[in-house]
Amino acid sequence: MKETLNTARVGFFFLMGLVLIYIVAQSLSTGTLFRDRGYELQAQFTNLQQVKEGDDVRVAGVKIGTVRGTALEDGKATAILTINDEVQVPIDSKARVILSGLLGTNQVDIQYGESSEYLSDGDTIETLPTTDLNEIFAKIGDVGDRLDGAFDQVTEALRSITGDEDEPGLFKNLNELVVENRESIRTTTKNLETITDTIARGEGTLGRLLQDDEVYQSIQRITTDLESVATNAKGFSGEIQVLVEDVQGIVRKVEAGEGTLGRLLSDDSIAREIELVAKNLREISDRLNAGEGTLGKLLSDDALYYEATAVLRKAEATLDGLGNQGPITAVGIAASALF
Amino acid sequence: MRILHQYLSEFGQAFLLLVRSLRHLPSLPRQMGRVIEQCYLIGYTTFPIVAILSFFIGSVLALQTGYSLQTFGAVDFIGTIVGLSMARELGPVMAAILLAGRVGSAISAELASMKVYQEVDALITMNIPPERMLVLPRLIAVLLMMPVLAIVAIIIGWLGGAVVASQVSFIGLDPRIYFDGITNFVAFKDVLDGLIKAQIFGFSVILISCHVGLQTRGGPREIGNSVTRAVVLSLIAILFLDYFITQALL
Amino acid sequence: MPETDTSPAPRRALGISVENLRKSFGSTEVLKGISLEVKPGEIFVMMGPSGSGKSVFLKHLAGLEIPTEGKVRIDDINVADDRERPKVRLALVFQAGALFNSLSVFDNLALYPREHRLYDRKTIKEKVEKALAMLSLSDAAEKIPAELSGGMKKRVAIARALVMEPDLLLYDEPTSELDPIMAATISEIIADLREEFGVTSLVVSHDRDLAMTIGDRVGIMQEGELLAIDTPAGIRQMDDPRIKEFLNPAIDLKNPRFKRSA
Ligand SMILES: Nc1ncnc2c1ncn2[C@@H]1O[C@H](COP(=O)(O)OP(=O)(O)O)[C@@H](O)[C@H]1O
Ligand SMILES: [Mg+2]
Repeated sequence: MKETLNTARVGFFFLMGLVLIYIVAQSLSTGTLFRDRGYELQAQFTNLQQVKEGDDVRVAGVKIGTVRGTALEDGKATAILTINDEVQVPIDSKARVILSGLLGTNQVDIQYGESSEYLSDGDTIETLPTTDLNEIFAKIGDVGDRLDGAFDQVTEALRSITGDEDEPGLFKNLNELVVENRESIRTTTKNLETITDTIARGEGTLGRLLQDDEVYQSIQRITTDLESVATNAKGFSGEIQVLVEDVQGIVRKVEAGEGTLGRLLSDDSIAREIELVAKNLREISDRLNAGEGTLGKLLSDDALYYEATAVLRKAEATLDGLGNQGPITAVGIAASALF
Repeated sequence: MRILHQYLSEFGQAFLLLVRSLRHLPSLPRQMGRVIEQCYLIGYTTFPIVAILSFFIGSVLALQTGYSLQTFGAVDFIGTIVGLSMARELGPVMAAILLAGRVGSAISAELASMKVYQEVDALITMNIPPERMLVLPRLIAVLLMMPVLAIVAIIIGWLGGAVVASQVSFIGLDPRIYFDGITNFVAFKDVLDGLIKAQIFGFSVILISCHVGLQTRGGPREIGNSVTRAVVLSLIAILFLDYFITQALL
Repeated sequence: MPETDTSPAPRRALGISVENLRKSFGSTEVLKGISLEVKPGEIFVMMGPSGSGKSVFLKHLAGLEIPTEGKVRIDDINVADDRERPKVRLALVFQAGALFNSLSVFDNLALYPREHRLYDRKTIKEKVEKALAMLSLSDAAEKIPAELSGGMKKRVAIARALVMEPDLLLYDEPTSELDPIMAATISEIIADLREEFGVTSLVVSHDRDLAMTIGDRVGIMQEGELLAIDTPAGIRQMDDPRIKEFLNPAIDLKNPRFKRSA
């Protein structure tokens, strides 16, 4: 009696153990003790990531099966999916590997297609390329690199305009040109004064010549020339302004884009580049505003222009006394040499 | 050095006892009654203490990891840590240690007493090898019962961890997250490794206890010494084997 | 397989041959060169004071001790060899009974025939009950050894030996804890077994009456040495003072310490 009771207890106890092991095997992620019931699909992926045996196969978050195994077929990662019998997967559905948690648990997600035909046992399901978290990070890195490059180019471009110690930029060239010719311009101006004085005194052929219609017209022509030179100079400054505006636009866009790119731009070197660009731009505009350099003077002070007009006014006043063509030609040459 | 030599020869003799016992395997079908009786002693009567102790082991484990992990805000991992530790290490080791303390000691006492009171001699004169009647049924019984004890230890340890993880205020982990940590990161292989471990431990404990019991010489006082020796040798074997099995199963 | 006997072999009388048997435990020599021949079907009684090595000698015959020196053969089988011993069907009645404490009296008796599958269940039951009845133990069948008195244990041990149906019976002080009536019953049983089946018996005892009544020959052992072997009558006539002392201890009844009881 006692023996049979104990036999029953032992039997029950042993069965309980088996049931517990079975339950544990079924609940844990890689229960391979008993195969799930269902039909099999194959899915070839470019990269299976960390998908492993026992991971879930889900449609819109609902589990419809499990990954029964992974294999390498013809160099392609192949997952064998066991899909529950009651689930029908349209023939144009697509499978992809997605991350179900930041902890790194992967799963196979199936996006249902439209077809009314369904996949059956042994079929291969189409797949979407795997978005690898690593790849995403690598891409973000690439974007950063490219931005870096872009800023480098902008900086480079601006540097070629402003120039630096080693390499004279466009502005510097202009500056140097003016500086170099300052003497000759002054001489010319002086000469003009001398000429106008002489003319005013009505001396020589120049005075007489000024009486002449032809001479008057040629003087007028020179004046228009000078004017157009000035307008051209203004137009050029406009172009610079457009350039400045463009750069500012880029900067603004980058600034606006900070939210989306997130910490990407917190990269110090990039920030420094942008700062540098901004500083350069400010420097340029400052210098232009302060009338530094000849171009600056040319643009803001209009010094030469005024000087020229003053000369012309004087010239007008003394047209009568103008008798010599030579110096006038010299003014023309000086003006055209300047621009 | 002498102690080491002594232990090694002890384990060697236990192994010889195993070989002698296995020669009687064909008699097993006739001994099912004894196997079931031993199953009852090894499994059924040991079950409550294993359940209680592993519950507390799981609880303490959750408490300790919870306390340490809350600093990093990583209490979500308690399930994984408790799950893996119980399955791979603590479940099997706890079950085996309790087996040594509860069943191993009883076996060595019983066999030592049989030896001292000449029951073993009586068996020999009856041409009934003690290995066949006294050792083999116990070894078979432990093989049948140990996985049950171990899976009980593992699961109840997990439950103990869940209770602590959800009820202790500074952890306050949702049991669902706790069990997700187990189901997602504890593979069935981990549990299987644990069961294999438990199997080897349990088998060694019973074999050593049988060996020490049958080696007893002298009077009734030696029975007590044998029990002590059986338990000590069993614990040494468990910890020693644990390292190598763990390495082999990794 | 070690299980050689699956059916009850026809009983045959076994002879014992002991040649210069020496046994030492550590440095103490317990048996100091014993030589002895027991003929098939003979009843041999070994007598000797306590601690003289009788039990150790008996264990050598049962193959439970390995001789330090010398040979013990039963029917030309070396019982010290584990593989040969099973060929000898012998039973040893231990001095302290050596009953299986976890088994009932009935199961103690039934163990041997069950393990060796000598008979079917019913026959085993019959044989066990018969042996129990012979030793007036029928009421104790379902008891466990812990519930028995010393004398009952001894009787159960004898009954267990009878159920084994051995060709050679070794008794270690079978009557030491029994009353005279039960002692007489044991004597009868030993004699009957020889009568009926020709069973050889070797009885170790310091019970003078038992030795003198049932013994074909008697050996006197002292401190591991065999002093004499002879028929009971021969032994009685021996001059050796040590034997005389053992058989008829000179009790000085005039000793004042005995007065009250006298
Ligand atoms: N296993 C043993 N180890 C050491 N000494 C033993 C052992 N068995 C018996 N002895 C010793 O041998 C001697 C004989 O013992 P024993 O044969 O039991 O005596 P007895 O004649 O009373 O049966 C005793 O002195 C005893 O101490
Ligand atoms: Mg004795």
